[in-house]
Amino acid sequence: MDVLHTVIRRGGPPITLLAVLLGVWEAWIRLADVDPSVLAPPSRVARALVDTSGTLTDHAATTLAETAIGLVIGALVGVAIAALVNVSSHIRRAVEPLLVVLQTVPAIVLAPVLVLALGFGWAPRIVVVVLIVFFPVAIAAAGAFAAVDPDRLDLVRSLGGSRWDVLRHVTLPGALPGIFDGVRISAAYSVAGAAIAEQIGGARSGLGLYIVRSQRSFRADQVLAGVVVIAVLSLGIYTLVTILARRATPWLSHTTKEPA
Amino acid sequence: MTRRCRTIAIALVLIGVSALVAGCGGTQRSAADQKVTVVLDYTPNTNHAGVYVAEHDGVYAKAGMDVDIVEPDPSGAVAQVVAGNAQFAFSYAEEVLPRRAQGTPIVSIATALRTNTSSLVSPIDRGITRPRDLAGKTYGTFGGPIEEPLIKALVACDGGDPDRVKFTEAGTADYSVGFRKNAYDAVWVFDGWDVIRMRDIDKTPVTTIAFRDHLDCIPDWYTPVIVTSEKILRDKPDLVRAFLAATAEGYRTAIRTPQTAADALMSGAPESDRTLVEASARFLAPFYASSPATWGRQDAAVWERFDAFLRRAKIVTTNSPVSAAFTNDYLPAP
Repeated sequence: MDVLHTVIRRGGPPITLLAVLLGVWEAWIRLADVDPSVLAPPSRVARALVDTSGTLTDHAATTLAETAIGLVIGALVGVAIAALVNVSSHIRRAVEPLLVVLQTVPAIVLAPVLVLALGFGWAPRIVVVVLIVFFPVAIAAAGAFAAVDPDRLDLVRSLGGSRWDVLRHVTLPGALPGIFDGVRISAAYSVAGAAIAEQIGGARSGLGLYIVRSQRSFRADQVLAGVVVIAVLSLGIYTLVTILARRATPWLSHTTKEPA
Repeated sequence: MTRRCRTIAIALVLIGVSALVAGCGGTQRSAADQKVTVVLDYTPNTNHAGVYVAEHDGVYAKAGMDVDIVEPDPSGAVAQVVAGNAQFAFSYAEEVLPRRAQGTPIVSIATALRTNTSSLVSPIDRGITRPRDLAGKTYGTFGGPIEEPLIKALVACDGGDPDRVKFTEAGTADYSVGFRKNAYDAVWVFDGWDVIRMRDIDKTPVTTIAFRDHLDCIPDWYTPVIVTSEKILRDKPDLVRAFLAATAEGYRTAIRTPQTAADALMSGAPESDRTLVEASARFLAPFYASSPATWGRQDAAVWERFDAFLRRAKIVTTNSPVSAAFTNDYLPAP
């Protein structure tokens, strides 16, 4: 009963708000006589979701796979860069500006170049996700590494701990919450990143492709159906990372504060 | 801590593996098949019908080819052929000739349609029924260098003042919306796709000026065409012949039974609108070729006249011979 209660209490407000927004949207399109090929009403989008569910599932599997692989690689790359930067302030000064510069080049601009260089396989789209994912992780992880309590580092060192011991027993566990904050931010828009890469990069399958094909076939309802699936997947991946973060850092109290 | 790290690591690996399994459920093909990649010029549509029929009906497979149909990225279908990522691409004469003039070694090996099926379309209330009506009206461009000289030639030839046509960027938004917002009065579209959608499906009253009805004023040209690189023509002539033979069979089917073409396209791109695809396939059937046996043939005179037009418009400026830009030599014998 407790679980049910929590679900209702947590899920209730957003679901109610969503229902109201959808109702307003549907009513506005009907009352203002908006052309459904410009903006489809929620009822048509729901129909499109059902009618193309088989196709959508295939596309969603592709996008999810690209996202998951890109997110894992991107997170590992981000942590690795942060660990590298943490070694000395010289490296930090050398690497940080380059990272920022790299981040100012939109992955979308790079995508066509990546397709030309890497061909039509999965690689270009996964690289785009990695590029989108690694930066928030690297920044969050670098901050978390730097914030590790120096007294603890000294303690392990004074007990004869090696550099690896320090990393394994002090730095990494200390930085884990910060690292996961970065991964959560990245996870939130990694699915959209993969979908955008699919629209650009000669994909054979994926939600981005589904949206482009629907657009070119003048199916505004299907375009929004694709967006809905991207949103659901994003929420799913975000939740998964949050759960993973809690499991990985059980020493932190993860109580959510809510008004009674 | 070690155990915890391991748990995280295993979880990450599991996500990755499940992702791979989810994404790699493709069908296994015989290893002996030759891998062929063809890049489209646009989202799958009825211009590509023959390729989709050949793929769907197993004509490619029967000829020992494992054909991968890919949609283009912004670097363009031709760039992928030149980069070696694909063997064949859909292009158009207005891309082939300027590209060749810049030294890109591509050759048109077949035309998908026997004549240009482009039109200028406008809402009926703009009163544009013939080219000279465009004077004083706004044309929405998509940024191609050929648009302005071509529109002006049409208007001038019909006795209108070409300098009174206004040009504005149409962008990538839906043309129907642009018309409604009065952003422009006419745009350039394919009869077999956009016009069918506006006139026959949305029942929007529109007028069209078909380029093929004004060949006394402007040249005809082939669009789309299938291209390959000079290198592939040299190194793999048999592959080119086999690909074109199978593709031609696909287009012949599309000419005889448009419904088969529509079904094949819907199977390859199920996101498409079936009503539009079926109507489009019926419309295009007589345009693929003058007779099924001659699908793909390109007339030298058409290429030459179009080349001359591009040179007058300064779109082609270097001395590249038009005769090397296309060939019928790899098409199946009629």
